[in-house]
Amino acid sequence: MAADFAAGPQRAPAAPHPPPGPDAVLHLVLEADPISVRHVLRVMRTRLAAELSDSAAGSLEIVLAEILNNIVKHAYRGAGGRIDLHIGRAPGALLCRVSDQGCAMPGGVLPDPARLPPGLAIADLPEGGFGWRIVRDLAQDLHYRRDGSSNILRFRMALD
Amino acid sequence: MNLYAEAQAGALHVQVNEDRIDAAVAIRFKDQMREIALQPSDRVVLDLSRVSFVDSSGLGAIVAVMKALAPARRLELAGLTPNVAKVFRLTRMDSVFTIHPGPEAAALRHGG
Repeated sequence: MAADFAAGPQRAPAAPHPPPGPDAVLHLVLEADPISVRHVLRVMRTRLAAELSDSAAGSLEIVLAEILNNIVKHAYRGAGGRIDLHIGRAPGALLCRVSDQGCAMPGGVLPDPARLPPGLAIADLPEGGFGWRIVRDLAQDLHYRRDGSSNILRFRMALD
Repeated sequence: MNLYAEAQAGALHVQVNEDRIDAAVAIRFKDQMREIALQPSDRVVLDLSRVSFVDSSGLGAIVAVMKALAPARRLELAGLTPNVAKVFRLTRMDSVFTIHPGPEAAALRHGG
């Protein structure tokens, strides 16, 4: 399948990209902004509707939203850039790969925030920092590496 | 962002007429909710039955609204769709909020 250009007309022209492998389900390129993230998630839901349960598609949408919005906000710091998303098929799972050319993950590792401790007073509740906890709970085999000027994140989503 | 507020039996009922509360609208949602909440009421019930998706930014905005109303007033939720309920469950926020199955249940609880 050829690359889809999911972002709006303001995106930069895409660099040549190797075609996805034979098991590729989806390859999407998007501009790093919240509206393009919304759009690419909608495209993903539409394209994969026939092969995923509502629950599996919902979990994938949650995980991708967190990862893509994290790139928008932290890797590109709101200044925009290109994000590549590949989704491939494996037995009983989807294999996902997200890459960008933004800033590296601080310390070279993915955040691993604690769960919300029970019994917190309302005034002490956090208003952020939920994203990576959600990603770690829903995705498997999460792996990040910095390759030159690129961030590459891979993970597996079990099909339930 | 389309939010519809109506006073019902001592509660301010706010219907979110949007498909998503996500990073693209989280700040707008928070600001509009704070404006709506200027209307007096003991409880504010946020009806999410038309919302199919909430991400961590949207969740953070909902928590921020609850914190802004406390301690005098409570923010309660109603009508969580399955994927929205999943986000609340994973972050344990389902144990922090009073969550009604639907807007009707939220109204009956105090009005009936």
